Amino acid sequence: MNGAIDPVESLAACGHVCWSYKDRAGFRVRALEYAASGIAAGQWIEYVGSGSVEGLRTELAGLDGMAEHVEAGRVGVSSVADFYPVVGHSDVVDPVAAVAARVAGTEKALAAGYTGFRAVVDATAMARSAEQRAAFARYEYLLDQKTSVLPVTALCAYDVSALGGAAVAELACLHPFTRSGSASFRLYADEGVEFALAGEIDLVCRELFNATLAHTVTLSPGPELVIDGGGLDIIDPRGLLTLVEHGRRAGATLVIRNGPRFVRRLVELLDLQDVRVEVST
Amino acid sequence: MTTGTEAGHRGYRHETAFYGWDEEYLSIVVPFLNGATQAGEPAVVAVRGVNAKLIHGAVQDPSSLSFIDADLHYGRPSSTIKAYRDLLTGHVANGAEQIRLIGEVPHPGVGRAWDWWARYEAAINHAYDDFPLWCVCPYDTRITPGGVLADVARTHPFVATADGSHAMSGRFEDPARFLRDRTATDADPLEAGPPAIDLVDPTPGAARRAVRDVGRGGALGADELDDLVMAVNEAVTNALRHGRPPVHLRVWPGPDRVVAAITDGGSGPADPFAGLLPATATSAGGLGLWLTHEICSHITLDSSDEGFTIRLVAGKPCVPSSTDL
Repeated sequence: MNGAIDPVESLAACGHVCWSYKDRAGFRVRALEYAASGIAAGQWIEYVGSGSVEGLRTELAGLDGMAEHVEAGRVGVSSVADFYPVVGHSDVVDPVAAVAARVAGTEKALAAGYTGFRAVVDATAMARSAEQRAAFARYEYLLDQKTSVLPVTALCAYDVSALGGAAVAELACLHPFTRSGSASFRLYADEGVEFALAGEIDLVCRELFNATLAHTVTLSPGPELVIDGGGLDIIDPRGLLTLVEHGRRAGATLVIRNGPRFVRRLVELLDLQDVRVEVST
Repeated sequence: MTTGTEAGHRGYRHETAFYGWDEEYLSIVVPFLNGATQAGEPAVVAVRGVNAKLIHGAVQDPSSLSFIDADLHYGRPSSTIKAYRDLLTGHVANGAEQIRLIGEVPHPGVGRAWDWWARYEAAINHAYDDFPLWCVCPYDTRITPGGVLADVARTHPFVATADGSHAMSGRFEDPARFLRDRTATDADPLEAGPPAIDLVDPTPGAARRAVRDVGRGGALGADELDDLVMAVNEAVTNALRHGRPPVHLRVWPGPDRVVAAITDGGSGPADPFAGLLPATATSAGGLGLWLTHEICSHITLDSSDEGFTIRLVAGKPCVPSSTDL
């Protein structure tokens, strides 16, 4: 399940979801909804943001029905500085270490009898500079891969007033669920494929798509780079060539599962050799 | 070793021939084709059925010629160029030192839109230049409109005549200049009415959605509409990326076709051959324009003081009657 989410829809069932917000009150509404549904499902909740842990704890306890869970130690609270391992003394996330920390946290929650680990994060502070965002995008990609195989879920919120829409799009596009309008395309984990693509890949996001693909590089690709294209509304020829080139650089043949008609049409028109489009059966 | 008038000539020789009756046609093409048979050169005859029949009955050895149905082969210029290049590459690989070709290019006299074939005739001076090809494109003056004949004279460096001569033409123009100077093409009659879509500086996404909304349930089938949406996406993307603002998209749906015109304030592609010659996956430019040529049923390119306009037609292009040209 995946998709672009209208503001009125519930986030409860979303695994890895990006939510851009303009004011803190709007964020709190979504944070409460996501945390409460996690508690109801027996998951450990970690509430993460910038500022002091005390301040965050007070904020969370002020949300409807949350005080008792905070009191009972049923919910963890962390600052982004504690939650994300960084490179050296910088404020740039160490993607591999951060994902390892999420996996460890999930295992700990399971060992303690919870059904999973659910993070409710305002990650704005980790995404202010281009360098931060490049590393954080890689983290989002790696984390998304974990959410498809482990009981770990996350609401990743970003303050669009502080970061701007273009910066948020760099991270929003790496979630199976995003607030509609945050990113024109999405790249996310899916069963049996390297990643899935959805939405519109055209001139508007040409550079973002190139940059995003770079975050997905795997260390040991097989002879085929299999992706799912069933959610694509369009991919223009430049986007498709970029994707084929991405496979070629990994020494792999690109395989597009659930390829829509326009993808097959482009492959045929461009006479592309290093790609195979599989139609859904 | 090249033979005939071509003896000693290397590379490509592009000729036209004007004929007014069947005997004149045969006295131009038959000696030319027999020459290939005698020299053991491959010869390709890409003409309409009626002329194929005439040739078949008049040449020395029809079985030595490769006949291709012109109605199928001349579907769209970009595909024709690609198909010929593949064909010629094959002959050269098999050791051919010269290939002879009779090619019958379509025009309104046979019910087909002309503009992109005029550009084809200019572009192939360049597109086949790396092949030892001797090609004659005969035009029937009984049915070919005057405007077409004028374009033909300007795009062929040689003229073959019934007396067996293959002489240089005094009216040939540099192909790049011919293409660049080619300005006002015929507007589609649908353009006399108000457009159903009139957008300034649309994103490619907005352009796609507008075309899809207007085209749904209209003259085009689902696949044709998908193709037009893709073509408009390419034209708008090119205008936004390579042209100058404002970018203007106008679309006129008709009973048997949809016409889309995309105008920008620039001067059009720097490469006068862009769109017709095969784009490769590695080439930096011209890919989008070439794709539109592969997808649409007709395309015109116009440059004027106001800017550059690409007109895309999906469905059945409007062909003016010969008397209008």
